[in-house]
Amino acid sequence: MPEPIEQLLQSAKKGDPIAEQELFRHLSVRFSLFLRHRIKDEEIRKDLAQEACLTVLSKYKSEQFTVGFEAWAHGVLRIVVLRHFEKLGKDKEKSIPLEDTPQIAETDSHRIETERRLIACLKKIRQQNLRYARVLNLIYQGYSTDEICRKLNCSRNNLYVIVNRGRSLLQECLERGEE
Amino acid sequence: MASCHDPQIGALLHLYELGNLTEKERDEFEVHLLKCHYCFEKVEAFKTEAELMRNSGDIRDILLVPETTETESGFWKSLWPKKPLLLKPGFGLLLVLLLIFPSIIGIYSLLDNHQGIRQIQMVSITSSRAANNKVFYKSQGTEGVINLAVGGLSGEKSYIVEIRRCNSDKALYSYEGIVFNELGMGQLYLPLAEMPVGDYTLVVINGANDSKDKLSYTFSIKE
Repeated sequence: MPEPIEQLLQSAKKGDPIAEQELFRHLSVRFSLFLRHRIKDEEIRKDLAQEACLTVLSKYKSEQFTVGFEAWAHGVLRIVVLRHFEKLGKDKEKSIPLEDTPQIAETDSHRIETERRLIACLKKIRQQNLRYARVLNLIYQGYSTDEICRKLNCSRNNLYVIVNRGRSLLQECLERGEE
Repeated sequence: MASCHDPQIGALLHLYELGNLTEKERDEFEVHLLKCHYCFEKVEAFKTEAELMRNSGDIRDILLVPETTETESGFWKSLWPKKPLLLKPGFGLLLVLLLIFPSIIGIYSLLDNHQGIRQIQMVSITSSRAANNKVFYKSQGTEGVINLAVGGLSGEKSYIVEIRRCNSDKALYSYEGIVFNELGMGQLYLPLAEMPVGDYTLVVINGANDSKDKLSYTFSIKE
């Protein structure tokens, strides 16, 4: 069980180099994950995650956190990403539109295999859980969460239940390796 | 960690993976991921699949179908629109059907009454034969009528009916020309008020066959 981030922060602030290293790793893994929603290039993602982590580590001892360490660290990442887009000539931080995303390289055999299994499971789940399939369909059509709730005539909480149940089915199917 | 420490934000997990949160919600969920190891592990384990679901054209093509094919058909939707119950056409139709059905049943039953043989609703069976030694009470102050049912009598003939004292051949009252119908049924008036208390015998005599007894019946008169 990994140490909670608050505990790592306290130990790192007291000068524990191992805790600081662990804090760096903790943030780095998560920042990389977050950047998957914003940056398409994996190398750029790694660079930006590292840059954000270094900024956090250089300032966290002197910084007075008004909104909590996690929110502050996340803010640092946002600024790093914003600067990156500014450098690229974009005026604001935004996710890559799906239409602009290049197709996954066919040489990446692991991804191709994952995609094949995912398609098989999604086809199966589409028959089992019509509401989840309909939510996915609406998401791909570009509807927002609130619009989907209106279309399905359900509350946000109901929508969360539908998608999370669908996700569980999908994960079970992938783990079982059914096709 | 066995579960999410903030299920309210944790519920956004799959919508985050699918990239369908607002910027504010996404930032909130990512801050949550910095603290919640449980949710982070789930997102991390599913990151490749989630990325494919967000970006793969093939997956989009499979799941992206025209909305109309998955919704209710137009007919049912028009019958049951999103309106208050009383304003739904389907509800009105249901109400009309509920009212019409008993009416149709009623109309059919009325037609049946006039066109076919009606069913007997009730049968009351009473004994048509009294036991011997029937007792008539004068104190009741009513006149007596004796209904006679005698088998084997001809409906075309007339008979003599006599009322005698018991153990006596002499008639106290004699009624001639008593006619029985084809079912052997006849009626006799009994002057109870005039008759003294005692035991009597009613005798039916075939007039054409001298004085041969055909039937006798005993009864009593009491105060």
